[in-house]
Amino acid sequence: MSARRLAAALLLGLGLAVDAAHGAVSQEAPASLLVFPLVRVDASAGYDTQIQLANLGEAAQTLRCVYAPADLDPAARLGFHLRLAAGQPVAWAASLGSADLPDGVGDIPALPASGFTGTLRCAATLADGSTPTAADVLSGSAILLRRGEVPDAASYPAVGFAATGASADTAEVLVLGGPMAEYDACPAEIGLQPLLDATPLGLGADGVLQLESATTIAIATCSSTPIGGAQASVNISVTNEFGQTLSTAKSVRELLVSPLSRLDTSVPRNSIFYGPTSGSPSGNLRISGGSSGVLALALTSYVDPAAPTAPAHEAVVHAQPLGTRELPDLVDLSLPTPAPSCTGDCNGDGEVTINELITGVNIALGSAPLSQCPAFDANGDDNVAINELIAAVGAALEGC
Amino acid sequence: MHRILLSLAALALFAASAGAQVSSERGASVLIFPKVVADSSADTVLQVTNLSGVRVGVFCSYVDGTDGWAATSFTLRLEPAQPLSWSAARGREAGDDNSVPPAPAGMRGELLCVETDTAGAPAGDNRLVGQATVAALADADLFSYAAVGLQGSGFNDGDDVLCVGGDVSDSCFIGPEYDPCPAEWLITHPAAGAGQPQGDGTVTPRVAITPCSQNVRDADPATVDIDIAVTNAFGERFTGTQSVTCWADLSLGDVAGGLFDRAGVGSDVVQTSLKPAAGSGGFVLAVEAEYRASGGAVQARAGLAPLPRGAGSGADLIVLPMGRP
Repeated sequence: MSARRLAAALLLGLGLAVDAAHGAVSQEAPASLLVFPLVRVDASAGYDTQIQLANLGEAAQTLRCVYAPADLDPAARLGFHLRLAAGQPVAWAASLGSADLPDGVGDIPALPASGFTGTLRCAATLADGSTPTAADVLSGSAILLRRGEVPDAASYPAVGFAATGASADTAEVLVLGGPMAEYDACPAEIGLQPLLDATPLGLGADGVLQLESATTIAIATCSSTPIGGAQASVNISVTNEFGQTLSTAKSVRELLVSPLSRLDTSVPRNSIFYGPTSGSPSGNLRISGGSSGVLALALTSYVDPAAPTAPAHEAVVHAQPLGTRELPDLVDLSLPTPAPSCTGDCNGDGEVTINELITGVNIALGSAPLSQCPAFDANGDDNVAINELIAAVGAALEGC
Repeated sequence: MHRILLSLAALALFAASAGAQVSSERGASVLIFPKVVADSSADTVLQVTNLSGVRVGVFCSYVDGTDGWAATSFTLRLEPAQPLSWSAARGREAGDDNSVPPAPAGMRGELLCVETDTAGAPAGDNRLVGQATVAALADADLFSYAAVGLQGSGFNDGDDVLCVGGDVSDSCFIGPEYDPCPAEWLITHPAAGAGQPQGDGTVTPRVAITPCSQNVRDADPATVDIDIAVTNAFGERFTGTQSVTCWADLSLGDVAGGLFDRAGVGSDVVQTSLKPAAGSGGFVLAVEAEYRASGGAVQARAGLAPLPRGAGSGADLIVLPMGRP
């Protein structure tokens, strides 16, 4: 080896050392912010999601979490806090919330059984539950469950964003990447290698099981806002087993869940992700966002071609976060501001009547339970005090 | 002199990669698929993808963990960004360079794939990712996992002895050619026999373990000793040990005297740490959760992603049946 080559190797080593100091999101390292790109609950379809979280640190850690619905319904955007002891793991079914959690962990709302498809983000905070903090100790995963005739389970790891230690702005807006980064930048691209849709599969030594592949893909924006939603113009390229590369573009607002071969067309056999058309069983997908970075998850099932819509088992296609975005992404964990409440408005009709005032007096005197009209308990101390009665009288006279 | 220069340059590169660890989400040079099944109960769909923009060679060996560590080897050549998939039971018939033989009949074991250069010698440019989907033949129940990737250190002497972590030695005169195996694996998972959410069945995890040291050429399997620590949802900690020779696919209900049992640990979810015992080599694993009906039959499976933590301090050797000096 010449001295020049040795010097090049030493310089390369130095370069790698510098590069290694730069953070990148990961599904396999503890982090300060966890993103679950797909949470689904639907009692009619048997869907539920079990969330697993663990504090891998040596001290207790508080978290602030927000469920964000794909349809941007403000009523379905739910926030909650958790406090995990050192080393403590917890798990809950999204449809049930915190029903089975140990005391003191927190109060997790149940997602509506009528249906929820969205994301979950959890950030480490100070003990106040609102101030984000750098604590790369969180690890998480989700298990997508289905009950019914063909029960199923498929698990994926949460995407972790390590904190930079900087604090750039307001507490509820997290800055991912960019010059004011509070957390790792979103990946420049996501790599996924699913089987292309409708690829024939002969499994077993004699091909005893003849099936076809079907993949569902979820693409979530790295940025998230409670009103209007973050939007990304997403580019998706696919390289097939013959080395041919094709691409398409799709607009995504917060979260898109779609069959793979309906991403680019309403007629799957015309899709660039349709196996029989390309003649290739598998594809190497590269997914990148424009104004927002994106995260992605794919679920593959092997279906009976004679009954393609029958429930089938699913498995997660493992994603690779590739590179880092130069542009920042902003995650707003705030919740919609609730409408102003009116003390004494028991039925929520926007006014306080004489009957409601009498109910309030009875609760204050102890002759009626608070459950008859919790709207009198303005400060949440489980009592109705004289000032709360006066506020209700004021609302009756002057309006809410 | 040549060896000294190589060692110095390798030392610089090793220092640069200090702290690097195995990964299933980045390009790597050695892929280990810890669980491949091709028997009467299941088949495995295997995928290897070239993430880079250049052509890359791959040398792979199926290693049967139930049949004396017997190996069946083949090579691939992947164009830029090219994915490749095949059924382990049936292999891949192709008119190109990528024919894959079927795995040995009844195989239960691992698949090991190594990036190679144009001459077929092991290389370390970190261009490969892989995944496996194990499908039950009875009901097409699936679980998947990403192959464990060992990244190249940047220096490789090109022989068929792969130096994984460690220092300069007689077998590894330029030091480590690949990242060391992890110092620890962490898994958050259901306890063995945990209740299913809103169901009357149970969940029990399984783990397939293969030592990082493996002499595939001479069919000489290694043994690893594993220290286990389990933390329940109340922060209580339980410990045990487990040894694995060659390869093992274990139900956690049968490990370490019931250490993982729901009745013993007292919570449905636990956090498990698996570490090589003092003096033991490293290991890699694939984890799945089996969902069983109240009658005991498996209804569904889910792959669980373990977290690798830290770099193991020991040296592991992988000896390939390549016939290279």
